[in-house]
Amino acid sequence: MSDKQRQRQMYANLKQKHVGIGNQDTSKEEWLANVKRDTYYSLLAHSSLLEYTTMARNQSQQGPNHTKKQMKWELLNKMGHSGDQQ
Amino acid sequence: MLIQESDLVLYNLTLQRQSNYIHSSTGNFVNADTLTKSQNSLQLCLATENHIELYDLSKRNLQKIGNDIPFFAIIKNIKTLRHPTLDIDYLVITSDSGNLSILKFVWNSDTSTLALSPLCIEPVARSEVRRLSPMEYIAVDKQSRCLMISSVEKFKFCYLLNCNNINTSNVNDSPNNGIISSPLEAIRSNFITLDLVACEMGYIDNPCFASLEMEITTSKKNRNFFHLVFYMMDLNLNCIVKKADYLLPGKPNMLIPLTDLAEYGILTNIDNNQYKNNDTTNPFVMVALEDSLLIKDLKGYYNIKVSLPKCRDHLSPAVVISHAYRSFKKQIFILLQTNYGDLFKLQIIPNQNEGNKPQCIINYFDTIPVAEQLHITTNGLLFANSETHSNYLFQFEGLGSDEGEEIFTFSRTLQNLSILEKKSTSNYMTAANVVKNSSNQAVVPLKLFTNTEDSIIKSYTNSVDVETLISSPLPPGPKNIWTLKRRLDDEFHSYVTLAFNQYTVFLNISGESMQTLSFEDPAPFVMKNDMTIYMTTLNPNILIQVCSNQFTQVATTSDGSGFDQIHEWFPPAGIQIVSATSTVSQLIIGLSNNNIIYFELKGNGTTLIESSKTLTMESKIVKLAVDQDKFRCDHLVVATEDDQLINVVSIDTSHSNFMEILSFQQLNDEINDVVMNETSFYVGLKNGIYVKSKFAKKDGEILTTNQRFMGARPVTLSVIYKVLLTLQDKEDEDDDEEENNEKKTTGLEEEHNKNEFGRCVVIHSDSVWLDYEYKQMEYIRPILLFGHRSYLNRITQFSTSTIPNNGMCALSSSGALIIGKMKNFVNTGNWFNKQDIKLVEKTTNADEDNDDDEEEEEEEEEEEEQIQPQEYQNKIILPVNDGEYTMFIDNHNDTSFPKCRISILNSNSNQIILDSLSKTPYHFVEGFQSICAQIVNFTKNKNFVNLVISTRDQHLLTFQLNTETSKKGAFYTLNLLHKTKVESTAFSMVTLNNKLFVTILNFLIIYDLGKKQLLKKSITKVTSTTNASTAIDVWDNSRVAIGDVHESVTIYQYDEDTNQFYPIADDIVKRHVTTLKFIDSNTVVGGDRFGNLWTLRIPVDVDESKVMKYTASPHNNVMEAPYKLELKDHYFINDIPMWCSSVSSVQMSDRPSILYGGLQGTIGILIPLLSKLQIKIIMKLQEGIVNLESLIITDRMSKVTIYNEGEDKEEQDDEYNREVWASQKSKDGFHPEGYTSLVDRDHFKYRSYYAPVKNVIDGDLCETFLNLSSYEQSLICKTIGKKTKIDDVILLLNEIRSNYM
Repeated sequence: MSDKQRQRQMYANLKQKHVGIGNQDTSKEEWLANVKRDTYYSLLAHSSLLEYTTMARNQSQQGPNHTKKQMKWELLNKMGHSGDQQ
Repeated sequence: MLIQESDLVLYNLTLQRQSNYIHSSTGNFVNADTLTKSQNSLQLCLATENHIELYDLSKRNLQKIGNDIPFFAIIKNIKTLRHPTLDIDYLVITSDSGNLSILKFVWNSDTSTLALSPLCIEPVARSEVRRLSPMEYIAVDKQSRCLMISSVEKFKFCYLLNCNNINTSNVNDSPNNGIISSPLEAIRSNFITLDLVACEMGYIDNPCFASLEMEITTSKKNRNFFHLVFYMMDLNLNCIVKKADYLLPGKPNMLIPLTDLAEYGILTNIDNNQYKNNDTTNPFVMVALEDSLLIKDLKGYYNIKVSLPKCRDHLSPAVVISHAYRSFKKQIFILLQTNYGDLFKLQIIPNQNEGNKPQCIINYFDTIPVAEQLHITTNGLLFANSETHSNYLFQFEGLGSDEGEEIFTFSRTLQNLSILEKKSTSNYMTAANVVKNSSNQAVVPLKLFTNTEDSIIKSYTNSVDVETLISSPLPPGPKNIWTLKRRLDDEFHSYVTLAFNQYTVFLNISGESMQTLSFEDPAPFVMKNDMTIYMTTLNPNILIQVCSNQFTQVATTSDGSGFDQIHEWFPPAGIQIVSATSTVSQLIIGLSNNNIIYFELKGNGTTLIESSKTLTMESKIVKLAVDQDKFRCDHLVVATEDDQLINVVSIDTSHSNFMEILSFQQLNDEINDVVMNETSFYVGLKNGIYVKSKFAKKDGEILTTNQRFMGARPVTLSVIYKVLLTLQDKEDEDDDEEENNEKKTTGLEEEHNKNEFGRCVVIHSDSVWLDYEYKQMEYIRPILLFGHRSYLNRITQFSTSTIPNNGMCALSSSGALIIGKMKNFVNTGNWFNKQDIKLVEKTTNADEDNDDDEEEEEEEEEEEEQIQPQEYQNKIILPVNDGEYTMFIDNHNDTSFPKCRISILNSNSNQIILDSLSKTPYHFVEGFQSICAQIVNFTKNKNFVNLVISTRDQHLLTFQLNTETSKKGAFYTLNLLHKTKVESTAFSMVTLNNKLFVTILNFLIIYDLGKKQLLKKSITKVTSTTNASTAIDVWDNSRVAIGDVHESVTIYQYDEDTNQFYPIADDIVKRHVTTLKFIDSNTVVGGDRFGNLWTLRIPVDVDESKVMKYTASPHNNVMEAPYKLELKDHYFINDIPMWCSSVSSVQMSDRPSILYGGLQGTIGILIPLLSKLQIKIIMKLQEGIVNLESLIITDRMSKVTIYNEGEDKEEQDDEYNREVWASQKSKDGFHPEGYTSLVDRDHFKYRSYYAPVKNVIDGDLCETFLNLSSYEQSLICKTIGKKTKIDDVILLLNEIRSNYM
C-alpha cells in the first residue's frame, strides 16, 4: 500500500514539473489537449514554421493578410482553447 | 564512425545565412573608442534564430560591425542588459539549450573580428523548444537588478543580478558565476502567458513586472479570461509577490510598458497626492486590444481606454502589433504600429482640467511595412525590423500634429519620416532559379535569381565584379600590357606600355586622360622591329624594357618629362631573350640557350651589374618568376619546357649556393606560365590546370601543392600586388562624389585596415579568375565583367588619382583597352554579390512607354521616398528555353481578388524582357491565383513553348509563349490557348517526354496539348497512402519521385509501352515534403516542413520487369511498393527548404553538388566528400571542435600534474603552454564553458533536432576552426592525427571552398 502511495506521490510530483506526462487514468481529452498545445506551441515558437504557417494561411484565406504577430497570438489563443471537448 | 562504401557523405556549407530577424535590441555593446572615433556609441543587435549581427548606428547609417556570429542553437529571445555603473551593455539570451546566457561582445580591432564571450551560462530548463521551458519571454529591470524569464505556460523565474561581479578588465575573462542568483519561481498552472514586460521603476522601488495571462478553459462555453498580473520582486524579503491581478475586457494581445508618468506631472497616486514624493512609483502599462488601447496601473486607479483612429479602407479591426517609445524631458513619445502598418503617435499628457490625470492624444503618423520590432534610438532614428522583406532605418522629419483624430486616411508617401537606409533581406524566399551553364558563355559564375520583394528581382552571383570605366579600341594584335611608375615611390602609375608583334606603343597618363607618348629621335626605347617581352621600373627611376634581342635601361628625369637612355645590353649573337623578371633591384633574364643571367643594382648606382655566375638549365626556359613587389628576392622560379619542371633557384648573392637549383617540382603537363608571390609559386599549365605550391623560405623545399582545373585553354597568370579586398559598391558611390575627391581618397586609404589589403593572382583560361586570400581563407573566384561579353586577356594593376584602389588595365579579347575597377570580392561572410534588378513599376500613363521615360520615373519614385507596398508575392520561378530566360510568376496578395502576373528576365544579361502587347514587363492573368507552373515543349519546336499554370480554383491554364529579340529590344508574347478544368487543384507538375505530368487527387496523369483543352494521355492510380503531392521530380523521363504533403516520397517507374506508372519504392517515415530532386536514378534529395534535408535511396538494383509484375497486398498500407527507400543523409538546417537544385559543376568544380534555399533566406550547398581519408579527417575535426571544452580540461589536468611535480619547468615556455599558465593563474580559475557553443547547446543534438543527423558534416562549424586560438587549434589537431598540423587543416578547409564549389 505504501508503495502505491509513494508512486502516486512521485507521479504527482512529476506531473507538477512536466505537465505533459500521463498514467493509466489520463483521459483521452487531457492527452489530446497536451498534444495540441505542444503542436501549437511548436508552430509559433519556431520562426520558420510561424512564417510558413502565416504565409500558407494568407494564401488560402480570403481577406486581408495576417501578420506573423497576429498568427502567433491566434495560436496562443488556440493553446488556451485546446482543452475543448471534441 | 564507420564509413560504408555505400554511404553518401555530404559537407554542408551555409553560403548565405537566413535573414528573418525575429529579435532585435539596441545598446552600447562594444566600447565606442575601440570601434569608432565618435563619442556617441549606439549599436543595434539583430538576431535570427541561429545567428547574431551587430550594427553601428552612431553615424546615422547601418554600419555592420565585424562578422556574423553563428550560434548552432535556436535563439528564443534576446534582451539588452545595461551595466548599472559602466557605460556598457550585455546581451541576455535564452535558447533551446535550456540555458540562460549573459554574453558580452568582444571586438578585436587588429583582426577586425567580432566575438561573443559568455559571462554566465545558467541552466534553467530542459533543452529543446518546449511550452513549459521559461525561454519565450525575457524582461530585464531597467536598473539591472533582476530579470524575469517566462514560459508560455506555467513557469516564471526571476533572477537577481549582480552586475558588479562582472570583471570588465580582461577580455579573456572566465565566466563568473557570481552574476546571477538562484531563481525565484512564480508558478501559475492553467495560464498561458501572452506577454511579459518590465515596468520602469525607480531605484528606491522594488522591480516590477507585468504579464498578460490567459486562463485555459476546458469547455467551449466558457470564454477565455485575460488577466493583467503585476509581479513585484521584493528585494528585502527576496521573494516574488503577485501584487495585483486585473481581469481585462476584450481580446488583449500585448503589453506596452510606460515610463514613470509622475515625472511628467501626471497624477499617478490618487489617494495621497501631497505625499507623492515619498510614495513608491505606480507603474503603468498599456494593453493592446482590438481597435483600442487600455492604460492600466498597478494600484488600479486608472482604466483609460484609447481608441485607435479608424481608416475607411481597413475592413477588419486594427491591432497594435509593435511599438517604440522615447521619453523626452517634457513629454513621452510613443509610436504604435498596427497590423496594417500604420504608425500612430501617442502622447500622454496631464489633463489640467481634471487634476493632472493622464490624458491621451493619438495621431496618425505614417505607414511603413509591418515591423517585428521598432526602435527609436537616442540620436533620433527609427529602425523598423520588418516582419518580412526589407528593414528600414528612418529619420524623423516631423513629429506630426498634436491634435487627436478619430478618422485618418493613410498615405503611401512618407510624411514624418524619411528613409536613411534600406537593408534588404532575403526573408521569405519561396523559389529560385539557378542559372545553368549555357552555350554562349564559357563559365557562368554561380548565379541564381530570387524574387522576395515586390517588383525587385534579386540576382545572386558568386564572382568578383569588374566595373568598366573606360573602354577604347586598339590597333590589332596587342600582345601584352604593362603599367609603369615614373619613380618607384610614386603613388600612381604614369605610363602604359602596349606590346605588339613588331612594335611597342607608350601611353602617358595625365590626370584622367591618356595620350600616346612620342619621343625625340633617337627614341630611348626600342620602338620597332622587336617585340617587348617585359617592362618594369627599377629603384628609383630606371625603366627597363626587355625585348627579344636586347634590353634597354632608361632613366626618367626628375621633372618627369624626359628620358635618358643609360645602357643597352645585347645577348650573344644568335641568342634571344626568352623571359625576364625583376624585383625592385634585381633583373633576371632567361636566354634561348638555356642560360639565366642575373643583374643587380648595387648601392645607389643606376647601372645594372651583371653577375659572373650564370646558370644553364638542361631544358628550354619557358618562364622566370620572382616576387616582383619586393626589394630583393632570394628565390627565383624557373619553368622549363621539355622536362615540365619548376625549379626553385637561389639568387641570394651572399650565400654560397647562389645560382644553384634548390628544389624542383614535376608537373603533369607543359608549363604555360608561372608567377611567384612571397613563398608561393603559381603555375598555369597548357591543359588548363592551375597549380599552387608553397616552398620553404629556408631551403626552397616544396611544402604543399594544390591544383584546380580552370578550363580548356592554357592558363596564363599575372599578379596584382595590392588590392583592397573589402571594396564594395557603397564606397564606390562615395568616391563618385566630386567634392574634395582627393582628400576623400587619401582619407579612405587611411581608414582601411591593413589586413583589408591583399594580393591576388589573376588566372586566365576559358574565363578570368582571381586567386586571393582574405582572413586566412583562400579563394579562387571568377571575374564578372559588367556589360561585356568579351574576355580579358591580360590584366595589370593600375592606379591613378581617380582610381586609387583596385584599378586595373586590361586587354580584352575583342582588342580593346579596358580600364576598370575590381570590387565586391566575395568571402565566407559574404559569399554572394547581390544585385537588385528593378522591374519597372507599371506606369500610370500607358502612353509613356519609352524606356527612358520609365527609367526617369523610377528615379523620381526613389526621390519621393515611397515605400512600395508589397502587392504581389512571388510564387514560382521557372527556367525557360534551357535556362536562357527566367520566368517569375507572382500572386496578388489580396486573395479576394485573385490575380497573378508573369515577368521574364534574360538569365545571362539580366535584361528584362517586355510583354509585346503592353510594353511593360508584366503580363497579368486576372481572376486566377497560381499554385504551380511548368514550361512544356509539347510541339518539340523550340520557338513555341507552352506555359501551363495550375490555379487554386482547379484549372490548368495553357499559354503559348514566344520570345523574340529585335532592334527595339526583347519581347515576349503570352497567348492563353485554353483552360482545362481538373478534378482538384494540382499542387505540383513536371514535364515528362515533352508532355505535362501532374498529380491530381489520387491519380498520376499525363496531359498532352489538345485544341480546346489539355488531353489526358495516361492515368495511373497512386498508392493508397499518398494524399496530395507537393513536389515531383523526373529522372531521365523514366522515373518520377512524388513527394507527399506528409507521406514522404514514393518513386515510380514509367513504362512507355503500357503508358503506366509502377511504384518502385516508398518510405517508412512520414516526411512533410516541401521540395524534391533526383540526384541519380536511385537517389533523391529533399527537404521537409520542419527544416530538415535528407537523401533517400533505393537500396538495390531495381529489376524493372519485377516491378511491373508486382501486385500490392490486398490490405491497405502494407508493402504497396516492392522496395523501401533507405535514409542516406539527414540534417537539420533550421529553415524550411523551399527549393533545391543539383548542379553538375559549380564554377568548374571537380564534383557535382546540391544547392538549396530556405524560406527565411538561407542559401546553402551540400558537397559530396569522396575520399574516405578526407571524410575521416573532417569528421574528426568536427568532433574536435565539438569536444573542445573537454579537450581543454584534459589538457589542463595533465599540465597541472606536471606543474605540481615541478618537472621541466623550463621546457614549458612554448606559446600555448604560456597561455594555459596565464589562464590558470587568473583568480577565478579556468572555465572553458561556452567554448563550443555560447549557450552551451550540444551541437550533435541541435543538428539532430527532429531525427539524428546522418552522414552530413557541418561545414559552418568546421570553419569556426579558423577563429580559434593557436592553442585550441593545436589541441584539435592532436585529436585528428599525431602528425596533423594546423596548416593542413586550414588547407583542407580552403580546398573545399576553392575547389569543390
